[in-house]
This record gives sequence, C-alpha cells and structure tokens, in this order.
Amino acid sequence: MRRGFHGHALAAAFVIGIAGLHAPAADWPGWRGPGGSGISEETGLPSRWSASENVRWKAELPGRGLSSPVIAGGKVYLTASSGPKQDRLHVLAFDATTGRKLWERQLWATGDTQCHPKTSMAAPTPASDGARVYALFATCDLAAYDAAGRLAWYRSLARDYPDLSNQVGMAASPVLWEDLLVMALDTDSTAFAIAVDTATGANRWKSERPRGINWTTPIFFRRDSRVEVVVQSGKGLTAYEPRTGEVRWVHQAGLNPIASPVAGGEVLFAPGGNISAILPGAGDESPRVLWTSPRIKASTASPLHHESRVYAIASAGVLACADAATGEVLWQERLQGPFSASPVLGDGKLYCVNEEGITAVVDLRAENRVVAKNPLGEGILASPAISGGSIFLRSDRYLYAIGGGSDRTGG
Amino acid sequence: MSLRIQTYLLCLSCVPGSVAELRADDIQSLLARVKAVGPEGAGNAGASAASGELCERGPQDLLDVLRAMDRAGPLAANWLRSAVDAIAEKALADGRPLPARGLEELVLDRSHDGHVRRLAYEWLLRVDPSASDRLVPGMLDDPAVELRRDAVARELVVAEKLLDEGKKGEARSAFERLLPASRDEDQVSRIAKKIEELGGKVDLARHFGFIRDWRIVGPFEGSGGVGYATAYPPETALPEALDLEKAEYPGKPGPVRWVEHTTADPGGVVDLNKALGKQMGVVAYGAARIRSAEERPVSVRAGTPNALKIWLNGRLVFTREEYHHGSAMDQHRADGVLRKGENLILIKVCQNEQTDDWAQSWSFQLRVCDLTGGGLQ
Repeated sequence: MRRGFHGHALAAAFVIGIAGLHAPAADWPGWRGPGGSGISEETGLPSRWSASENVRWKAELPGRGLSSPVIAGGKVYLTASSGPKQDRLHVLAFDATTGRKLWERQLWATGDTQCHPKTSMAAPTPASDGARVYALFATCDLAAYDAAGRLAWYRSLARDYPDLSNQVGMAASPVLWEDLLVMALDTDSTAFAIAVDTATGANRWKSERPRGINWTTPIFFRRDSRVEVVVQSGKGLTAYEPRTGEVRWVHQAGLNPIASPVAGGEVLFAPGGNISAILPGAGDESPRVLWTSPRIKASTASPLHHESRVYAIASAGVLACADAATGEVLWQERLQGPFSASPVLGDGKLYCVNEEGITAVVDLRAENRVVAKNPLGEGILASPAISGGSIFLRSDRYLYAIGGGSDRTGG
Repeated sequence: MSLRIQTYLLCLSCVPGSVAELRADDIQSLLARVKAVGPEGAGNAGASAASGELCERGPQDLLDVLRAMDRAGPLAANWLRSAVDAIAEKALADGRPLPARGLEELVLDRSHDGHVRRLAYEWLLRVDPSASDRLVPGMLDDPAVELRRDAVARELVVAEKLLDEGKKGEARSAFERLLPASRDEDQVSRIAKKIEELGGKVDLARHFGFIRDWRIVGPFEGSGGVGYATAYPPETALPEALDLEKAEYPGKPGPVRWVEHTTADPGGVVDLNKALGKQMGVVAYGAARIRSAEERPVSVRAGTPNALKIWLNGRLVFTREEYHHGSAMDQHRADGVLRKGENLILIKVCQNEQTDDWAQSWSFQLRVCDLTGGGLQ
C-alpha cells in the first residue's frame, strides 16, 4: 500500500492483547502483517525471482489496487476497484496454496471516487481475524465477509458521515484490536478515529480529531502494561485508549501525513521530514523527543523497526539503517526508487519493492547487503505480504505468490 | 422445530402450489429483513442472518433477489448484491444453470434500476456470452449508464474502423450520431476529437449541459477560514427574492453587486480570479436561473478545487469544505428536482489563504443534467 500504517517489532512484551499476534504464525492478517510490524518470523523465504522464475502462482485481478494482500486461515484476501469511475469495489479470496479463486464479491461505491490518478479506491489494506475479512475502501465503504464469502455486515461510512471524503483519495487501513476494528479517517471536512464491533459493524466509539487530510494508519502500542492506539497526522501523534477512544496523550509536531510511525519497545519512531524517536511520558508527563536524525528519512514508505535498528527509505531511494537508541546512522544503501510500498522483513532480509515492481532484497547479515533485484515487469505500489514461505505481491493486474511451496529454493 | 410446524409443513408439501407460495413468502421475509438496514449499522444483525440464508438459496431464487434491489437504497442494494453474487457463483460451481431467460428479460426491462439490470447482464454473460451481441446494440439510449457505455464503446469501434478504412464521410456521420448518446467524459472526448479531426465542430459545454451564463457576486470575507460557515446575504435570501440585478451587499473590499459572467471554457469553468480579481481568503457566489418545462429529477454536478456549497431552489444540496486536492468534472454530485418553470442554482465557492503555487486556483464548473449525465439542453 502506498500510504498506510506501521507497527512494531515482535517484542515479547508487545504480544499480549494484539489481535493480529494471536493469529497462526503463517498468517499475515493486516497491512504489514502480525501486529503491523512488517516482520515475519518465517525462514526459507525466497531471494530471487522474476516474472517467469520462482513464481508459485499468479492470479489475474479484476481491477486496480494499492492494498496489500492479507493471509488468514489458508486464504489470501485482497481488494480491487474497477470501472471508468472506479465505483466497482471488489473483495476476493484465493486459496493461499494454489492461487485458486475461492470467491469474489462486489459492492457499488457509495462515497466519492475522485482521487489522484496514482491511487485507486482499493488503497486501504483489509484486515482479517480468520473468521472474517474486513474490507475498507477509499470510498469509505466498509464490509465484513466471512471466510465463505457471506456478507457479515456492511457500512457506508460516507453516508453515515457525509463530509468524509478527500479528493486525493483515502488510504488509511483499518486495524484489528480484539473485537474492535479501528480506523483513523481524517479529511479536511471532517476527521475522527472510530472503532466498530467486528461482529456487527456498530460503532463502539468515535473520537473527533483535528481536521486535515491524512493517510497514515493507526498502530497499537504497549507501554507500562497498557495498550494505546496511536494515530499520526501532519499535526502530530495522538494516543487513544482502545476500548473507549479516550485521548491518553498528544504530541504536537509537524509529522508526515503519509508514512506511518513504528514502535520499538516503548519508543515510537515517527516519520516527519526526518525520523524522530519519541518516548511517551509516564502518567500525565508529556512525550519526550529522544532524537531526531536528518540522516534517516521516510517519505511515502513507512519505516521498520527490528532488533534495535530502524530502517527507512527516503524519497530519493536511499535505504538507511539507524541505531534505534541514538539515531546514529549505521549504514546506507542507494536503491532504485521511487518507493510507494513499505518494506517488510523476514528470514533476515528486507524486501523493498519499488514502483516499477523491482524488489531489492537486502540481506541484513550479508556484507554486500543487496543480494538481488527482482523485476516483475509491472508497477507495484502495494506493500508485500509474507506467509507460508511465499512473498505475496500485487500489481493492478495480478496477485503473485513468489517462492514457497515445494520450491523454496528461490534464492 | 415444533411438531405442530412440522405437521403443517408436511401438509403443505402435499400441495405444490402452497409450497411455492410458502417459499415466496419466506424469501420475501428474508429480503425485507435485508432491506431494513439503516445508518450506522442499524439492522446489520438481522440483515446478516437473512443474507446468510439467501446465500444458501439456489439459482431459482436469483431473480427475486435481483428484483428486490429496485429502489432498495444503496445500503440494501449492496447487501443484496453480495447475496446475488454468492447464489450465482455457487450455482455455477455446482454445475447448476442460471435462469438465463429471466436474466435477459430483466436486462431488457428498463423499469428496473440500472444497477440491477447491469448486474443481471453480467451474470447472463457468464452463461451466455452471445448475449452481448444480441443486447448491447439496442442500448445506445439506455438509462443504465454502464449498459449505455458498452453500447457506445461498441459503436466507437465501428466508427473508428470506418476511419481506418479511409471512409471519412461515413466515419464522421457515425461519430456525430454517437455523440448525443455518449455520457462518460472519456468517451465523449474521444468522439469529439474524431469529429473535429474530420472537420466538424463540437460544443462540449452544451453537450454536457454546463451552465455558462452566470451572475457572480463577491468577494466576501473569508480570511481565517470564516467564509465557509458565514451565511452571507445571497444564501440567506429566499430564492424568489434574490435580486440578481440590483442587490448590493457589504463585501470584503466594500459594497459588491452581482455581475454578469459568461464563460467560454469548453468545460464551463468559471475562473473567479479573472472574474473578480485574484484574492485569497475570500468567498464568491454564482447564481443561474434555469427553466424547466416540467418537474423532473436531476443531478447537479460540480468541479472545483475550492470549498463549496450548492443550493437548488433554496435547498442546500451539497457541501464540502476541502481545498486544493484536485478538481475534476463531476467530482461533486447531488440529486435534486427541478420544478416546472424557473429554478435557481446557487453555488458558494470559498478560497483559502494557502500560499503554495498549486493552491491559487479559485474556480468552479457546474452542470445540471439528467440522471444518466446527459446535459439538459
């Protein structure tokens, strides 16, 4: 996904209470996977592929999309949009092993479909808890389908809240927290964070936010044994109590309204012009900026935190690795950009997919880190997913499962 | 299930007509529960249970579900659409035929909603691909815009083939016949370009029904974002009492009056920076009177990079407080009704105070069209 949210590393203290992390190991239940971290625990992941090599399966899609595939219970769920006005909204389910399409459902858009030509109505990534897939579109149509493709519930948020629209295109993804689906829907006309019941779609809470166009996705953040849902916007960070929507703390700063923050331990790494490390205060204390480094920047792609390192791709295509404690940049690699997809990590490798569909595989253990540049021959703006030994990539035309299965030797 | 109900059903099963009636009652009950959905998730639980039962139905019930989508409203229509897709998909997977004849009848019956007919058409194509050749040529004047689009696309290929073959006269005639049927901007632009390349002339503003002749007044105070919420006199006056000739109001620089403005832009764009002078933090109003020979439903469609409000005959039909995120034809839409005789369209266009180069435009385009997007001539 071009714009979206970011999570945190799989720190043990973080695990309890985060719905995505209860999923089986092979699941990738939302944007950037378990806990929104962008990190897979799987090994044996492929390093090399092309349009004709090491492709486990490939499925044709009915429309465009920047949303990432999500994987739960052996199924790959994906959204797409089609039609001259992009008013056809598709939710699809595929068998993760074979790529066979299991079902496809369509909705008619009930909200605005105007957007920048680069994006589409299938920009937000769906989320799945295994029982259902929750698909949000840029039109603010929100639908939950069960695993068999039966509509469990449906909302037209654009009809519920008529000013909910931005003419560039909405893109923030929904995130799951226990029995809640949480969204940050910020526009110039109206802005709010909202949690709906995953069983019925009914509002559980709705909290007004400062108005302003924004594309970041909430992250869940655990500190002092309590969990907060944190939303970044151009005006700063706001932390909410996930059950009630009560505002816990606010950090006002000029931050990036596209790339999302990432958590590492009790620190948030927030992309602005530069990356800043922000330590939320205990109790009523104000958040404290631990460091801001002009040498590590994030543009559209969100940063990633792993094993005390922060990784981010700047608009020029420079991948930087910084010490999470100090902000000191430890190394940089110039990759071929531009990047809309956010990097993901698995098997010790960063997967960085540029807009031409070339995936730079960066082996964090290798001396010559960039071990492969894998072209697929078509543009990709969606962040990859990792499950079952495969890297899942989606373009406007195809969904690819790369590697995995009987042939995991791809690299 | 109680013994009494079981006995009752057993008796009914001996009477085929009654069974059919029972099933019909049953499905109507399910459809009613789905159609009871409302705002903010109201009715979702009941709709979910009913929809789940509908999804298990066989293809014999497909037409009932499709017909139920007529005038169901967008929420219920999407619920029912998912049930239609589930029923049809399952039937095909099980090797059971879809009711092709009934689907075709539904496609051809223009009294049904366009979405319903289009959905029926797409499932019909899955079991009878030849339906396209049989049905689409007759859809050039179809009220269902997606069906009409297919018909235009088909005829476009024919016209372009004539052009490729060097038959310029025949090609131009074909394009000119096709233009009045066309609704979508991409198709209209393609046809207009061909006509003009062949020596013809196309009035796009007229084709789409853009209002070109306006009365404009402003600027009013909009500094600090106050203009959008401030009801200046043009929006507080009753439509019948709005004097577009002599009224004078306190504006930002001093008294302001309505001025005539005619745009020559093919897309009907009114450049307020030119009409009123370039300013930031300001508000302008545009007004136009439209005559209609009859009461009729219409679609009011606008494009602007600025925040806007639209009134039709004094009724506020659209609002959007958003600045400089792009402007496109028909990006904002509202439904309304023209009354017989004179009608007043009023648009409020607010400019903010951003200093970016890309935030200087203060402009709008507006058209009143039929529900297919055809301009009112």
